Amino acid sequence: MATEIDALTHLIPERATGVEGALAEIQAKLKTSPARGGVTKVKRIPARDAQYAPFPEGLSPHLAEILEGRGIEKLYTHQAEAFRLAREGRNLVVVTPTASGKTLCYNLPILNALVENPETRAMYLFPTKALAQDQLTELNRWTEKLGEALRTFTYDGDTPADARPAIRNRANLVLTNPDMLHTGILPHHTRWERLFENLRYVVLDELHTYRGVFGSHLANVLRRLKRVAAFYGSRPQFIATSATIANPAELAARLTGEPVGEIQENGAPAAEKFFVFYNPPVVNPQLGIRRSYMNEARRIARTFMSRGLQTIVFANSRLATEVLVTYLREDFSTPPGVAQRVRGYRGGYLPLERRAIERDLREGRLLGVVATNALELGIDIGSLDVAVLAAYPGTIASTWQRAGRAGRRDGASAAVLVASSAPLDQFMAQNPDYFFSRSPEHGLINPDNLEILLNHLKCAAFELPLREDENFGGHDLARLCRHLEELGFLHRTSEGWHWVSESYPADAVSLRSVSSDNFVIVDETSEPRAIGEVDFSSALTTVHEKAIYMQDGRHYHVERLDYHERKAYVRECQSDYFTDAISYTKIKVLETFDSAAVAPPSTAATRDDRASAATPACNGRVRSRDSDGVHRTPAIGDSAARAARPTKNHGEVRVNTQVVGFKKIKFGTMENLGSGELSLPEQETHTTAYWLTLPADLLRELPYSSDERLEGVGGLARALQAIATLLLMCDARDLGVAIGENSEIRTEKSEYGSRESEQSGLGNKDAEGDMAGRVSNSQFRVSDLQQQAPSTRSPVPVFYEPNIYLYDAYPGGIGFSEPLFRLSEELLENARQLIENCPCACGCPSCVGPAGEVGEKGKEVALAVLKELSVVRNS
Amino acid sequence: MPKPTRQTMSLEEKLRLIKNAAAKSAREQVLDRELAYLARRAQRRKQLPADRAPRGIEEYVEGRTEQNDFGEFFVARQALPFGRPYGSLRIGDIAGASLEALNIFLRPARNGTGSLSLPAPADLPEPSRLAFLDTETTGLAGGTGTVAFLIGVATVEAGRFVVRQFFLRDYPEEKAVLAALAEVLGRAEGLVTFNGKTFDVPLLETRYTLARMKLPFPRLVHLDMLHPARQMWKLRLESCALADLERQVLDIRREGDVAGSEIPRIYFDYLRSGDARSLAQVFYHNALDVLSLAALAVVLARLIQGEERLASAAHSSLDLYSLSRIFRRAGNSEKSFAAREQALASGLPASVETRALWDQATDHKRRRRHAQAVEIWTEIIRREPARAGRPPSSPALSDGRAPLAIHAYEELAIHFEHRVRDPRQALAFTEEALECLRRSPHPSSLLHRFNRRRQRLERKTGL
Repeated sequence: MATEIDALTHLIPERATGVEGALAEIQAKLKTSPARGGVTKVKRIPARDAQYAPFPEGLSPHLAEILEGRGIEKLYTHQAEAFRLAREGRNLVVVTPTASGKTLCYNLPILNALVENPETRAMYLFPTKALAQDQLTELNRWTEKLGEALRTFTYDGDTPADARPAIRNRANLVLTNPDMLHTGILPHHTRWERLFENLRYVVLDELHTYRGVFGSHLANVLRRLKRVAAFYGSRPQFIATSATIANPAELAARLTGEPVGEIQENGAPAAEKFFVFYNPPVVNPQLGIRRSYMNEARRIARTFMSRGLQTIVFANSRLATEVLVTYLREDFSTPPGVAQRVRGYRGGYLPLERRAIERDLREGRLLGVVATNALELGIDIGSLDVAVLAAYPGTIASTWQRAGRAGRRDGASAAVLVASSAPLDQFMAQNPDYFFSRSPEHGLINPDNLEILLNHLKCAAFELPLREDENFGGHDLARLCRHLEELGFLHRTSEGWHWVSESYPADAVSLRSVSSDNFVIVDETSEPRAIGEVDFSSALTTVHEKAIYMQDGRHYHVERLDYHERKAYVRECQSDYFTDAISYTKIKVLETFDSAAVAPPSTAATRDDRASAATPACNGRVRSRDSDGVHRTPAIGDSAARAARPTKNHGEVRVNTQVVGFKKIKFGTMENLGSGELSLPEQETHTTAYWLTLPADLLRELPYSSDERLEGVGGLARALQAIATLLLMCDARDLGVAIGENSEIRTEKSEYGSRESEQSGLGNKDAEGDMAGRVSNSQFRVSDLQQQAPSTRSPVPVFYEPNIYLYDAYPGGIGFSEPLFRLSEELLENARQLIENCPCACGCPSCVGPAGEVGEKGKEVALAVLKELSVVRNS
Repeated sequence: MPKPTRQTMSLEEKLRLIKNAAAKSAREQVLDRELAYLARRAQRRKQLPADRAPRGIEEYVEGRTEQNDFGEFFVARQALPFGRPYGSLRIGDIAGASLEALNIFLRPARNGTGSLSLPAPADLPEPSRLAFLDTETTGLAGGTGTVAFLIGVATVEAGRFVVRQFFLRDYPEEKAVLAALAEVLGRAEGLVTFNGKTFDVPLLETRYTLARMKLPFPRLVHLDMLHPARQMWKLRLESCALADLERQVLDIRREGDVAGSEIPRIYFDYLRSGDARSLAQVFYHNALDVLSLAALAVVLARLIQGEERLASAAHSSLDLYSLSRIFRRAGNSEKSFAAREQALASGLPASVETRALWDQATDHKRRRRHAQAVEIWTEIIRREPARAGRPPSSPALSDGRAPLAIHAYEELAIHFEHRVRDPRQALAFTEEALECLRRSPHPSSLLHRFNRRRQRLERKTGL
């Protein structure tokens, strides 16, 4: 459907205007040799005509009249098809791009049902409160015409307590979110008797956001919803919408536990569009340093905006968003008193402010907006001319979704991906065809993950006694109930399993990693006032004392952080630097689920052809079975056998992170202006991890200094993380990385080294990882922004026998560690290819990290370790 | 996300691992509480032979198994003769009490701002038509997972005060218990609880809905004693929990009672072990709660009717002032005024006295006895430490508002500006008030009001 061209100049007439003109200018000005960077790909996606269908059979004349009153005399084909399937009682998922009239696909059949029978009830689930608000505005347009037939309200954390009883009884269309359903509605279902008795439709908007741990939770919440509905005699039908992912129908079916039909045909029209890949040119081939992607994104956005083209810039972090707002405000400054033409938009702005920005975008009053993924979802901001993606969003689906924000009904639009120096970005920029040829990610969930399932079983038992013959998850329900009984949560009677605990189980289960526990930002420049919020996990890195907090291009100095009251007090200031928090991560192994020697590579692509000799998972496994029948790492008694062998492991760990300081980084030059120390509370998470133990002998034999060896291991860890996210198809944020000491040896080193404990057979159980690798704010590495590698190096702790940990960045884990354990050899082999094939001389951000961070020998050591691993494998 | 993980371990093994981990973290949190409880329980158990086999509720609580359409259930029924003393009362006082005085708590508060057009709520019926109710539950969390395992309900029947306690020997008996309770409530016209509006009744409503049974509550007039008791005794008691009211107001000492927070665990232990030994204490606790609730209603009604002797002089003045506020809230300014006069005459603590004086001045003003009002306002300014900018003395009374002296200044300024028509005097009071406001932080609306007044007065006085 798309044509490819190498240079825009062939396509675009001389003196072109609008988007084409801007693209030609970018091509001309930023032209560099392909080897060094520049535009690496231009894809032209031709215009598409609308496909219409007449109003479907069964559409109430009243609704038809209202549609006609709005100038809608026919539907797009996908809307008519959705109406037809919904009327047949089928569950369905509609997969079409942004701004294709998706909402009407569920609103029309449901409003039709409400008009036909006033007792009918429907529940809409949105992943965010903002989306529910957006939909409420849309539905209120219908209320004007439908009157009492449509009684729609949002029900979420913002709903005032005194309004709730009325909503519970009156509303026939409730807009809420999975979290509220989980903690507020299901455990109090008796108050929602009328809703559940008549619940006919459940809408899942933005289905693709329910992946991973969030999706696994939601699937269980929906299991609970279905059994509560069944208790009241109803069986709701599910209607979902999704952005383009590889398996929408499969994901919908896994989430709802029902067969789901899929509508992929998009009847909405679209104008011509260009998709451009841009790689900032290399400025220092020795260090593999490219021009800052932030500066390049700014220049590209400026080129479009100075032609009056409405542009959205997507950044991957809040910090990057604010830095770009600052830049673009400089470029498009307005006189004092005149409204800004560039705004920022991200989570943490107050709802009213967000609504105002959305409106100004729709109505064309803003020239540009810089946003995080907060604007990736279907919030109505109209269609813009251009989307600039400052760095690869992490997944193919997200990339298409963000690019989809640009797209006029008439006139061309453009999306430009500006690659950062992160390994995945570089891979995509250098292999753009890989991007265009590949289907977007699969939305994968695992609702039967025991941790998650057990938590929801508790909630389910709290809601209604569990019966053993119920259909709830793929495991033996009676066995799970007995387990919960042993823990004192359930009690068995002739009627089933009852909840017998004082606690409220839903409160103990968060559906997302981000807690709802927000910090409020209070500006004390004059009269104190709240200007925004920061969620708990980012508060410690963004609003610690002396931080420069940025919001909507303004700078604030954080005077004081009140941790207990969850408030940060700030004063507006003019700052020529911003701050970047430094955090340390410490890992302790609580339980090793499985451990084995690193086995020969299993794929044919690897160098070792002997690989096929055995299944990797079984080959050379050093594993013992203790009397309980649980696999454990071997007792330390046979450390001689262990010492020679690198091992792969997975199990449960405790991760402690602490923000210990910050750096001041100058705007523009990215110089490090100094640093400060902080003492903030430590955060603790229990999760699962995969780790690689490098035996002391292996490292000792390498011809490098101990500092060099350990820096190289740090570089290797970084490369492993990048490859792991690719193998798992997850976001880099989902997988934490850290290095720690393998404990047993530490015992040996210890002055009090008790041989007794070594023979106790505890294995890794009490392993305490020591100070781990230095990790910057995980969403945003300052080194990615910097043109020059930082000159100062952080002190590297000394390890004797290091463990490289890749841990699930979610409490309880999402189940990444077991697949990594299985794919261990593939992981190592791909990491070797990544590092070996990287053109840099001695480490760069695209492989093991810049030499400034991992040392001159970092790349060499990382490769040497990998080669040693394969020697060990082959021996 | 990875593909669903291949089962490398059996389900049994995984569960074991998860159990160990879960036990570790969960235990840490509740460890202290559990240990404290276990220690207490062990102490109690020492007195009993260790090898005694678990025995059911019938062994420990006098009661019987009954049956209705929904099955069997256990009920303990105690008929208390009217002559039996209960603290300072006799049981018969409950049956014979005239509780109509409590009707003022069934009315919405009258703030003097016009009458509400809501229909008048029904009055409390005769004591013989009342049910006094209290539940023991498996927790305070609320929601569908909390069960009322013991429901105590007391009614007056044929010369006796009858306390029935319906008990769930196990969860499947719930429907039968709910049906039996509905039968008792069906004979009543009114319901009296302590915190029942927020806790017991919504919880029981949830249970009835879950049992798919009709709610017995909508037709009952419901008096929740929590707020009336707080209005009456908050000034002199630190806590207005039922147990404290019982000790301080009714003069009752419980023996061998169990702490409310231990009750869910005792029931869960019973479910697991089948041993009902510790439950006897819970029955005792619940029966006393129901009786005290009824006795408290009687005492409060008497206080309002002016029949009850007040304990001591110090208590009586505070109680009188509380009564005055109850009357005031109900819109009965005559009685309110009289009770307050009496309270002031017998002496109040300084902080409460100022507040009482303020109320008194407001009443005077309403009755156009301006001279008396001015006298009191002046007195308030004299005694209140607002001049020094110190914070208000009694947080319970100030409700976070500005010191009463500031309000007294405002009243005086209004009085001299509009009634006496002496703008100079009014301005003098305004300036003094502003001086006080400058010294300590107060709501900006107040400052704004005084500033406007000053501007206007300056114009009038030609300054």
